[in-house]
Amino acid sequence: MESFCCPRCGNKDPRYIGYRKGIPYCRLCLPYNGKEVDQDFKVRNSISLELEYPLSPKQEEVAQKVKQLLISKQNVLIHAVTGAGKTELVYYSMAMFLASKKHVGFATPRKDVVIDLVPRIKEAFPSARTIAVYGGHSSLINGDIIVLTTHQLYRYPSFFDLLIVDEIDAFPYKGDYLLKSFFRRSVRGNYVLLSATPSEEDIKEIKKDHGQVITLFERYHHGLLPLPVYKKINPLTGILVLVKELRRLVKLKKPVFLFVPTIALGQKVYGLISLIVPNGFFVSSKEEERKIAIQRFKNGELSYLVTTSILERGVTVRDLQVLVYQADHVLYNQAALVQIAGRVGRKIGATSGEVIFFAEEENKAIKGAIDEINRYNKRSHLL
Amino acid sequence: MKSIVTTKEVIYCKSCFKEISLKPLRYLIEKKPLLCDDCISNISTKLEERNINGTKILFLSSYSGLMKQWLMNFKELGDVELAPCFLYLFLPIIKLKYPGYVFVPLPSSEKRIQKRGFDHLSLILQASHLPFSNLLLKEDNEEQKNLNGPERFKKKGIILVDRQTDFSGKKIVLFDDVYTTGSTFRESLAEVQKPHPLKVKGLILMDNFHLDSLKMK
Repeated sequence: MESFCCPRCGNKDPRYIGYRKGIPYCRLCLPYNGKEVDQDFKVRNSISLELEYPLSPKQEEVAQKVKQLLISKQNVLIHAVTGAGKTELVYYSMAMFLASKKHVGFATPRKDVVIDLVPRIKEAFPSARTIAVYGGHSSLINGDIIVLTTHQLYRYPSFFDLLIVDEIDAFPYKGDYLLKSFFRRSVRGNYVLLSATPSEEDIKEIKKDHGQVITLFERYHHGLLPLPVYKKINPLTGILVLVKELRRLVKLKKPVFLFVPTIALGQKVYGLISLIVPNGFFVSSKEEERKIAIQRFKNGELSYLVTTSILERGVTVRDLQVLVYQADHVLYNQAALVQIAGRVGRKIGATSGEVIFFAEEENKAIKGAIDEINRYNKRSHLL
Repeated sequence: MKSIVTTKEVIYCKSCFKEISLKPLRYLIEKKPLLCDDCISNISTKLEERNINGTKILFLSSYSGLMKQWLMNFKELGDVELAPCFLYLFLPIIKLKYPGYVFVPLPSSEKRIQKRGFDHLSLILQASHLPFSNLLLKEDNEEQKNLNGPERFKKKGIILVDRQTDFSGKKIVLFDDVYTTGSTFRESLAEVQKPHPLKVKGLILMDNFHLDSLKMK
């Protein structure tokens, strides 16, 4: 059999190759057959960064370092704690590339994060045409700054001079061969990876691919990361303890996220809790109205949200408190728990809050997450 | 004693790409398996026979789950490797139930075939090694455009390719992928029955018939 290499995803494995009238085709990336970017697209003149707030000294230092590394044609992995202000760290570099009319992209695995990010980038670069590209929103794919999901990267073969990938450890990007190859194929210059919880492999890989790891363990408001508290529950009365804690926080008029591991369990738990604590909502990937519910929650119309892991990253709510039910569930690994705890205390003036892990036993992930956050706090030299 | 070394070709599932590890029993029956046990168990089997306008029609599956997804990939994305998978599970039943029958796929319009690059129903039958004949044709004529309102939706423009062929003693199975309102299917049935073949039966891959869909008309 002659060897065939898919031009879109680079797949060579014969098991994914089919034959259509004798002509080979790739079955792996078959759904990704939309229109591709116009390679001759010209970036607009005189795009500049107009930040209305200053970066913190630490942010400033890291942002300059990133820029210097990119000038010397190196790739960067920024390992910064949750709420460090990761997006701002790449603004200088983006501005530098845009000034020389190069193609800049900002990719993330989650659609919700793209929607959240676009207005922020528009504010920072008001003169640029910033576009969002994600599933169901892909009629316009040419722009000065392209904010997109990693699934859409296939539309941009060797297009980006600077590609930033946020949340590289998030589902579905993590461990997905296809998305990773789309990423590799779309970069023609350098890339910057952002993560609060990079895995060992991520760090090894970037070092191999002439890149460097830059760390930032301090939040932009100089507050410490909120330390999670582990609370042992018993399978029978666990839900009662949970309701008690939730009611206490709701009475304090604090917004609360209650994380549950699965949709089925979430429906069960929410069904019960909603009888006792009113004015909540259950959001999951299957919930069509989640965008509206999250907006209502941010406006303070809802007092708590029961949620699956979809809100585990990329969300900022002022003075949020977090409860995690069945934190010892197999779906919660250490990185996920660190991310969840990182939702708390992200705004200036509300830098602390409660994070409670409810579980029947303190397993490796829970211990690891608490240790990790402790370690970051020590390394931030604020203690 | 000499040790016996057996080399086995690794076979991958056409649907989920995983390596197929068969139970011994399946090795006896299937020479070259296409699907793994998991994917086969995900196919919803219906196997229901209904009488429509005096013709017995066999529904193999319901319009849901894995089969629906396959049809999507097959028809819209052109994943032709899936063609033999559709009837794979049902082939023993079909062969026993319709001996000596000729399968007639419902026609697609020439435009659709051109756009897709293949006639999907013929391809399914061909890949399953069933005897088939494209007796019907869908006209994409301008006349349909001239019809207005409900008139236009009544006639789908399905005609026999050749009215002169001798149908006496022939047994025909009309084959379609999805059955929703059944209007196209009934029109094709009437057309096939015109030259009076010996027997006419129907075979539908997926049943998408709801009472609601009739009310909408």
